[in-house]
Amino acid sequence: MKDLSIYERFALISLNSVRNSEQTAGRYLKDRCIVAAVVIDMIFSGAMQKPGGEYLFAGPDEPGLKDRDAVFEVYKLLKDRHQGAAPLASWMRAVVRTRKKDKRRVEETVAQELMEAELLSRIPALIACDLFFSSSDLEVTEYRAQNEQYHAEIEYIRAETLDAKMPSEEVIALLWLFKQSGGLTHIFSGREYEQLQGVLNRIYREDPFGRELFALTLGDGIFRKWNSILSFKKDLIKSQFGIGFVSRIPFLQRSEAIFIESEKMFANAWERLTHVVEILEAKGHVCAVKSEGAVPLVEIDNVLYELIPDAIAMKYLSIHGVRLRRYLL
Amino acid sequence: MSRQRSIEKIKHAEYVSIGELVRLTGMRYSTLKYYTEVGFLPFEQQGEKLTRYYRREDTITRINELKELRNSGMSIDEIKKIMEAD
Repeated sequence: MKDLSIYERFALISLNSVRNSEQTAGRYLKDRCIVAAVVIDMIFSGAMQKPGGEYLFAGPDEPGLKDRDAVFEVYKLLKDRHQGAAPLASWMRAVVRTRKKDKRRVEETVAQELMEAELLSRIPALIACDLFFSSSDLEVTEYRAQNEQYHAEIEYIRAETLDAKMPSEEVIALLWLFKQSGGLTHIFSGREYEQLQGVLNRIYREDPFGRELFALTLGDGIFRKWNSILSFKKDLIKSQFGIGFVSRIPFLQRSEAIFIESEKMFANAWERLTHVVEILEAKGHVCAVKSEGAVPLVEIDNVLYELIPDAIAMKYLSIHGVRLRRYLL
Repeated sequence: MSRQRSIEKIKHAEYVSIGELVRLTGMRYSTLKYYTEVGFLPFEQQGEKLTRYYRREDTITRINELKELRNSGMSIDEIKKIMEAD
């Protein structure tokens, strides 16, 4: 496992499975959080200093500023926002007010750094394997994080949060970033939320840096409300009821009901599973079979899916295949 | 308020936390926690709700042994019997 900066770790986890064509509220929020992560990294590395309780840039010749492209990019965006030192809240407000295309440029710079370190790659999107997408010849790509580093980072955050008396400042910052971007569901299962809430409350009570950070938000009220509505819809789809519902009415949340044509009928589940895995791997996806059987469990590009045998009825015949259904932890 | 240790520092430390074991071994937190609870990984803890610390070298040796036993197809109960016999 490599030592990564705060913004690299956040981007590695939050950009996994993000489609390049996605222009959703969630994507804009992630971009905002990536810029905020760079600001926090500058605080940790000394590129931003804290004389007398407020933060200011150390100066343009500070080594930590110029040796990483993403950090220098954010420095250029924010250096003229305040004359001298300002509270962290003011710097985060400046992050929110930067233009969308500037935030997207920072995201692309961070993604490029991760791709050069071979921790992130751009692959054909999983949804492009869907019958209706592939037959319409649409090219859609997505990011995929390197499997070992991705899981190691998530497991480290889980271990520090659920096992340690007080997580390190890096983990506190990451928890805040994932909370702001709605990404805590990538890390913790539903059963762990109550314990997680207790940890977040303890951080707020006992850690000065945590208290300063947790008092901040990264969105305006309307934007956050709309994102929470969309997140609620996505979470509902991921519930036991929603999963069954969307598998019958896929258009509600296309990304959660991908149908892969198996091109022929098979004598047994093992042959069907092998064939579908071959199709996915031929299109550049990394698959790891976790369990076999009538409904196998497969990890595809760091996300767990159940492969449910299904058929789509067309006018004269049925098309057989499997429907990918995200597996809930 | 504490900062996390770098990989280089963890590799030379005498004691590590479970999170640092995750970084060193690449194993899941849930797996390491389970191994701790069934007694496979001894630890030291100053108070009931304080962080558990593991002796780095001994624990990594034990984890490698457990990985080999699991890869050979042994169940957790069988491994427990072997550990108790030792």
